Amino acid sequence: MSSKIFQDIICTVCGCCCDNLEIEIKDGNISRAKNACAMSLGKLMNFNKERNEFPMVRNGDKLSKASLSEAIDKAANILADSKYPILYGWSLTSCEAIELGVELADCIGGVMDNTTGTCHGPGIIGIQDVGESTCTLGEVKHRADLIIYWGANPVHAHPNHMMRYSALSKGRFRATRKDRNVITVDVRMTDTAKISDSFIQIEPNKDYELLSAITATVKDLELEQDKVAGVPLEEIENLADIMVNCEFGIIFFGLGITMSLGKSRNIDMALSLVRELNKRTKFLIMPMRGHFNVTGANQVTAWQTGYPFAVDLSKGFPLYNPGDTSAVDILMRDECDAALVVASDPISNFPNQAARNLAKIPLITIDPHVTLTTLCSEVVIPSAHVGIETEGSIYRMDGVVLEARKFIEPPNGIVSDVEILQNLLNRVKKISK
Amino acid sequence: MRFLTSELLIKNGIIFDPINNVDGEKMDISIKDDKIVDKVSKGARVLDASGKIVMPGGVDIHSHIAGSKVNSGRILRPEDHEKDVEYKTKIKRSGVGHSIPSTFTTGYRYSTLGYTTVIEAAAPPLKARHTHEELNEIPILDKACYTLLGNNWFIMELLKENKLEECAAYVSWMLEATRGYAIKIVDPGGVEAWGWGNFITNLEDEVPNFSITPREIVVGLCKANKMLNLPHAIHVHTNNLGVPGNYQTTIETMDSVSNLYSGDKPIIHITHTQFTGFKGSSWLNLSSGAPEIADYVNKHKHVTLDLGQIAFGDTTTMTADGPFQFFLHKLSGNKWVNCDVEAETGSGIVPFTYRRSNYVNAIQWGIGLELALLVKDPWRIFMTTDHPNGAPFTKYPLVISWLVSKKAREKALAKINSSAKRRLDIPGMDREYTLSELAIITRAATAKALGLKNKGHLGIGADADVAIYDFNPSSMDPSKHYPKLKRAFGNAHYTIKGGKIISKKKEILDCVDGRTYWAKSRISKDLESSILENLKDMFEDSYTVRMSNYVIREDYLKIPEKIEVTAEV
Amino acid sequence: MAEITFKINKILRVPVDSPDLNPDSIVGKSLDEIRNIEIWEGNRKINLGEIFDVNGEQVDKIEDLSIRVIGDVSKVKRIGQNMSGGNIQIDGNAGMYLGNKMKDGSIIVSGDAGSWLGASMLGGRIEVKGNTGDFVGASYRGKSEGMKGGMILIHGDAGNEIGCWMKGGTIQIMGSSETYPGMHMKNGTIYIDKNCLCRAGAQMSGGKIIINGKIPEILPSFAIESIRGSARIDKEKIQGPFYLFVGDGNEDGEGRLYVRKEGNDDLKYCEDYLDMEV
Repeated sequence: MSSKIFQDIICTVCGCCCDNLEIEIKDGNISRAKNACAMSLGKLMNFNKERNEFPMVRNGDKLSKASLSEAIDKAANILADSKYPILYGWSLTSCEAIELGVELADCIGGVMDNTTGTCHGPGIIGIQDVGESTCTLGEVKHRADLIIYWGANPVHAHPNHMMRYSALSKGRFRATRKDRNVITVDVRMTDTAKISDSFIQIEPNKDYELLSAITATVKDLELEQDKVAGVPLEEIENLADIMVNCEFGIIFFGLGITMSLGKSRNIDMALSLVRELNKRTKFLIMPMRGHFNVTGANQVTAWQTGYPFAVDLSKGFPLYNPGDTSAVDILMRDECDAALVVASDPISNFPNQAARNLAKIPLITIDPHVTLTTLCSEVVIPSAHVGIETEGSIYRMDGVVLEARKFIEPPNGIVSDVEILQNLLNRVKKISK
Repeated sequence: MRFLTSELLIKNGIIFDPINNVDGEKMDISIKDDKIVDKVSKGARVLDASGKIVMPGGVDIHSHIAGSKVNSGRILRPEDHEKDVEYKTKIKRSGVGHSIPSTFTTGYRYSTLGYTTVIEAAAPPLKARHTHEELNEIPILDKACYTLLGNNWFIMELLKENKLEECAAYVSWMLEATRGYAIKIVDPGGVEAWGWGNFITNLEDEVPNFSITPREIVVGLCKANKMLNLPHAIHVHTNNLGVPGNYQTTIETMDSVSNLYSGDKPIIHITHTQFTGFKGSSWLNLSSGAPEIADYVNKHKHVTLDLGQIAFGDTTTMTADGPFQFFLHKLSGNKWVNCDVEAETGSGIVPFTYRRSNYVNAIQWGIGLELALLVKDPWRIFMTTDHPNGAPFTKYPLVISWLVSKKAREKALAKINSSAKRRLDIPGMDREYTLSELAIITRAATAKALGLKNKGHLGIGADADVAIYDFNPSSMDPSKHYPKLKRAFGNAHYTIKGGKIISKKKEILDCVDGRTYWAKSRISKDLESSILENLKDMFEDSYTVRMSNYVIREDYLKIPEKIEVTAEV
Repeated sequence: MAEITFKINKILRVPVDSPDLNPDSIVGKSLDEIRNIEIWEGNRKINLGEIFDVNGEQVDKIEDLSIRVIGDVSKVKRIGQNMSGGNIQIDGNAGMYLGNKMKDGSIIVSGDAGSWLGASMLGGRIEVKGNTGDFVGASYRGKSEGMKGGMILIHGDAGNEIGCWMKGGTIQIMGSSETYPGMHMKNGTIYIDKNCLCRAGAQMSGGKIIINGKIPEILPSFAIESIRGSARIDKEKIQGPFYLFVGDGNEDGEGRLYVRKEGNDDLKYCEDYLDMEV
């Protein structure tokens, strides 16, 4: 039995991108994984299940096996012919693949968008109006004496977050759990709330109101309500007090706030609160990015086009306006005539109308797994898992970039997103000449 | 049209090559492959440069073009991009411009200015990989980046314990790990204080929790730099940037290392000195500290400076000086991004508009130009706008016009705040930069200061990076005809990079990939192993990434070019 | 006025971008020249004449020009962009960015209009008989420059963030609005005849919002100032009584939010705070 140990492996599940995994491979399979959280183990144990085994092309109402070259050819023709294609997904693949995605969108005149629109897009839109006071995760580890989780449940969605980076981590200036005050704000008592020092229960869809009330209290304004968002004034005043008097505070926010009523403006208000607090103490804010490279998708798209997502390249220059140029909205209005989806399953998680409109247009999916989106596609191309079967650059939730490595060979005939996209791009360029 | 030959002959140009003492002579330049050669065969392609200025390709010693904070700036400002888009062509990728251009656009626009080498001024080590990913995607230009070390925990601890050799060893390791080119120091100690929301206001303030002063950091790193024989001096953004009266901090910083000067090459570079040349005690009585700084620089050969000249209009400020950026946000009320980086550094971004009618902005405009006109040795003062802090680099031709033409300055002066005009010395200054001096401060001197021996000149063996500008100095006076000069320098007639014709006026004809330089200083094996031992523990305690994941492989850079030197230790 | 008609002659699949379908670009051109004006259909450049039947006579003065667009142009973006005079009438539904950056002239829509109606408008008048979407009179992303002048009248309902970063002018919604009307508003007037979902005047620093219908609550950073007998939209007086709130305190704002007293019993509590010493 041949065995090999890979150290300092970077996990490719959530935005924590923990880089201390130790993986043991025996006879080509993972036999042991050290330092992996439950979600990470879940991926490591299951990444080979329900995979697309070979490229497929639709014939009538069936998907039949095809060669990679045939699949690429059909996909290239669909894209080259289309008048308003969207290229969507990108958050679960490498930066190198995303770079090719933007190049492809530029070449064919399509819309380059990533999953940000359905998770932390509102946060970015908020930043564009207010700005953002943030840091890398190590700053929290070393300095934070106040940690607030707002609409985020790291115990379930980012299991190693507290131990590696925040409440339970050992920092230079905050050595023990006692040195930190952890507060959770959520609509119900989550498991994260249970292990926090205090919990503030907020009425659903009232994040903006509560943030507004806290900001006003921090500014010493008199509130004319004795309860806001279901939270009594006394509790609001207490929270404002804690925030103003901490040495280094941070708000980690999740989908609980970005996806509740008012979306981008909820974050706008949170960013404004943090900005106001900086007049009195050191305070920062950070989104709990869900996918391991959604941050990378934003970064690559921004440096190549100037904009982090929802970029319309159809007229030969980048144009950005979420609500207009975002994939989900384009699909809701049934405006697109072809789509390329990379490492994402929008048919499962988009609003019904958008999913239906996506299913009825020529759809090309590049994904390791069988999903609803692959089942509805004209062309399916299986790909290797980034950070397991192929290497690539990925961005942690705080913008730190890591080079994910490979430690297992992909199944026979399955290649990386980079290779597929490079081939697709070359083919499209030939057709377009 | 494709040419089979790799030989190029630039005929009859009016050459300005200060390193080789050529000052406006009519000469031919011969290029074979990517180098300047003595002569070429009859089959060479010929470019007629009659009546045109020919200079080495521009070398920009300080610009913010790639990396985490630049990209945060792009994300922050969709409104900056909306008004200035770049259309795709058969050769060009689409993009956006104005003050924070996208990567491809950055390469194209610098090329059309005749620039061929640009240095990214500030790479946070933990995020240096991001800097290189963007540098890899800037086409055409040769590049490098400076590694931010002035608030680094390990360095501060080593210097406090007087462990100079270990500090030098760590710096050597850091430059290799981050593929950096030089030691960059920004607000030494101040950015660590800002990690707690605090500020440092003078060179003797102790950095909280580290018991070291900014002076000790600057002196220590200067010594380390000398021990390592690195090609460029320590590159310093001083404390108190943007604070009235800060010209004194600048002089004190320059003076702090004056006794370390051994008489050969300069040992400290002060960057964007305009921003740290403020005299006065408040915004109301702000005036120019340029005369005092220039006086010091004229008398002390161990210093080089770059201008950080402002131009009026809308731009974006972005630096590793987190506390300064917060201060600017409060002053202007504009949106603000801040990002502190664990154990190392920080950054901040604030959009800003410089206004002619604003007293402070008008004084700032004067400070940069006064520095340029009062410092006598053009080999020690370089033209920059600290892009985009003072102005986007696309305004370089405008700055050039102010340097070569008093008439151009007068035109600008006529429109600025009149109290500021009365306060400044510049109205009375007659000096006009010659074309040779212009070539020095935009390419020859910067290449020399960087230790890039094949850049900034047109001698045999130099890289074939050439800029041809459509301006005939034999028939036109730059001072009188500055609008034409401005147009010529804004739109190079031809830009040649590595022997390939890249651009003709505004059109990009070819696209190549440029090199990324990084500096390796070989230290002794014993010192190297001892520092590596200490580092492993340090990583566990201080960082949230593993040491093996921190280090950037050389082949991560698209076309790496190592500049290797031997250390004294 | 002389009319030139544009009748849409095909069912649009992908978005069309047509900023030159406006009086300034049409005036002084022959019909053939107009038909040859380039527009975008998705990622392809086409001519106006390929999707519109253009009829009428050349008009040489902008004040005489009336453009009539017939049919469903809900996928056509930027009609009327930058216009400085003349008139556009749309018999159908209009697309996004109608009247974007408009300087003068008038636009009237018989059906609905898309989002970003009158964005960054400087002057002129837009009237929509049906409903509209989000960001009426708003600013572009990242910019703090919404509508500065002019008048937008919507007979139906509007969506979210109407008047975002508004600096002047008037927006009248005769139906209801969704969230955040007047977000980041600096000046100007917004009138909502029926209901507002929530968060009126969020982060406003100046200007005036009048809600004539129901709003379930007021943001905690607003303070009651008085009860007023009436409120004004430009010269027109609307009979109250209205609660007058001032805010947004979080922006040190002096914006005025008028809310009809009748029908807003949930807001009665604020009367306890009237005349209180601060």
